[in-house]
Amino acid sequence: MLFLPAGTLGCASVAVGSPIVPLGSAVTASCTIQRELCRGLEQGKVQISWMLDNKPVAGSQRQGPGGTEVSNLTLPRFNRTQARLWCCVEWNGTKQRVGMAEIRAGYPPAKPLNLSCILNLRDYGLMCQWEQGTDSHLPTSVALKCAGSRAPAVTGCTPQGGHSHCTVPRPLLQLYRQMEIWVSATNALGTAESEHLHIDPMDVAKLDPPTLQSIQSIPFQTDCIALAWDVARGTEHMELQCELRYRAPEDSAWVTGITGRAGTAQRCGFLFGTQYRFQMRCRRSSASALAYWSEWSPGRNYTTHEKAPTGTLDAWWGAQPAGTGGRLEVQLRWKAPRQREANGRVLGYRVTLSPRRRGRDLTTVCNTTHTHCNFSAPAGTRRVYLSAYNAAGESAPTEVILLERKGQPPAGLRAVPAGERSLWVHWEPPLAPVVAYVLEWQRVTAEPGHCSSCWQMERDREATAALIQGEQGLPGHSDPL
Amino acid sequence: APWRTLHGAPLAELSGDQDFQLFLQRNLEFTRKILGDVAALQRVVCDTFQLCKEDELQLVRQDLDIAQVPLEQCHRRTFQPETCFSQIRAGLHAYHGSLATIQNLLPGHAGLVETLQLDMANLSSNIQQQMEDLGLATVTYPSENQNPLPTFSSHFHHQVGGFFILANFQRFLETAYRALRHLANL
Repeated sequence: MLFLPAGTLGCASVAVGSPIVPLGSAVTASCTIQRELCRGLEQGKVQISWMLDNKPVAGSQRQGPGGTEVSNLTLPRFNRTQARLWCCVEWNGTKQRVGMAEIRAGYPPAKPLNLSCILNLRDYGLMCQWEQGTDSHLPTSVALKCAGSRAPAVTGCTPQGGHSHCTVPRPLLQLYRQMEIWVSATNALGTAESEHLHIDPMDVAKLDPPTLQSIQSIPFQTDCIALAWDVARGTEHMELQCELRYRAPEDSAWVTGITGRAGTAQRCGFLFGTQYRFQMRCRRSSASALAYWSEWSPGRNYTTHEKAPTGTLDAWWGAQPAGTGGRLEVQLRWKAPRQREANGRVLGYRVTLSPRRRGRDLTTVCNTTHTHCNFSAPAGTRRVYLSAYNAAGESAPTEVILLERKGQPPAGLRAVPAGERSLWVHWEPPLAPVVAYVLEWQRVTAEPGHCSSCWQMERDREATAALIQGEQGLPGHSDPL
Repeated sequence: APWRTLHGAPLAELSGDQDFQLFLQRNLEFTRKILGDVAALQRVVCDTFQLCKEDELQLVRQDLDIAQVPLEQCHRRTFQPETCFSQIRAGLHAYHGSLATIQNLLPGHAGLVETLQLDMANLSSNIQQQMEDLGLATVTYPSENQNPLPTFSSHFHHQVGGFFILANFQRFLETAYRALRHLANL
């Protein structure tokens, strides 16, 4: 066995089989005392002992050549990652430390894992990162290696300060051609390599996001918008695949779609008079599946143009004959249209006694921002007309027929709780054909309160249940715009 | 007119080869990148020296010893893919050296010139490797340019010389780009 001298030359020298060993393996050492070089030990018997850090361990002593005293030591399982092995002699009744060897134990380097790289387009440096794996407990040198398809491997960069990332500078890269990149970790017990990446550095380029330049409605009365964008600086020479996403503030999910590379795109199907937030991102379309998307661009808001409200309004009413003159007191209520039909911000509602005719004076009985109105109508009025308007125009009127109440109401009406603020109301379908159902409710209190919004319409003729819910219904308050 | 001389050329048979197509797509984009960087340097020369239009410098040009880089094998009528590739490489090597003239003129833009030179060296190396993959003979150029730099009789002539080096290089790259694009579209 080859012993490496590690201790003090002269009086005592300590030699170890290997100063760095696999953790748990045997360590052998010897300590040689040259009595004539040890002042104070010239006379008498030399007694050699060992200490591992501060713990005594037993060696076996014999006489060596040239009048030396030698002690050999074997530690069958070295379980410390780092320790000092001391050679001692007895002198004047005290143990004297006269020689020392440092021993380190650990493992061969772990295989570096999850190597990935990203090319920074500002300086064209290739930043690579990985996971180092379990600690080997030994000084380990780590290097990122690069090789071109025919070029020999070189060290691309060396991580600093124990980090697991470093950046290969541009001069060591071969752009637009596949390179081989891997991490090599070496310590006294061996070398480990990560998986080898085969990448064209451009395929892992991290692009800056594009900039949305303009958004506009075209042509004016459609639900389409046109966008124009600029690609990020430094990506002008690339063929890009870009993705547009947008949503209205109340939408939880984004609508996402791929756009072409021409710098403009058109999208349809937007709600009118609605604010949308748009964002865009790009990646190189020619790159492999490795290609990174840029971050999303800063959001840009755009409110689509308004259009006159569409659809019919859900309306319900109550009526009593007025005291004199044979007139009818009508309490009309309706629901605000959803955004899809409001086509913008509803500015008000109009109730007339006749459908709108161009050029004719309207018999308007209400013009209100609320969703209810009370008015007096001539006796015999059977129909009134309700419309909503916004800045772009007025909807076609919804005809409300002031039907007489005939026949029996649906039987078997019952309500069951559905959460804290909702009720399921069930009923049995009547024999007569149904156009729609109207549910009305109110709080049961000492004073019957008036609640103009405590009703809802169920237009599904097959329905036998409806969920009544919401802030407005339970317990009930008015519902202005 | 069709690229008549191409018929029967070995490279034409490779038009369907995926590796070759990938090589072309990658290096078309690379050439566009280099063209963009040359255009950036031309803007700097225009802004710094007020040398912007070739038409205004034709007389001075006659006094300058600016070497022309042949690329006729990449032209439409005389297209020979193999020799075209070799000419592109030789030209890249020559311009790589000439750019030192620009570096002397524009010390404040040395980084841009170095970027350009690295890109040109990579493009040449990509073409070389592709030629070798195709079993074609290639030349390996020394990394340090051996050709002497052109000399100029005055600072003004130096500036005009730099202007024409960039203008010629831009035309050179455009021709090379068209040749690569032609191969990609075969």
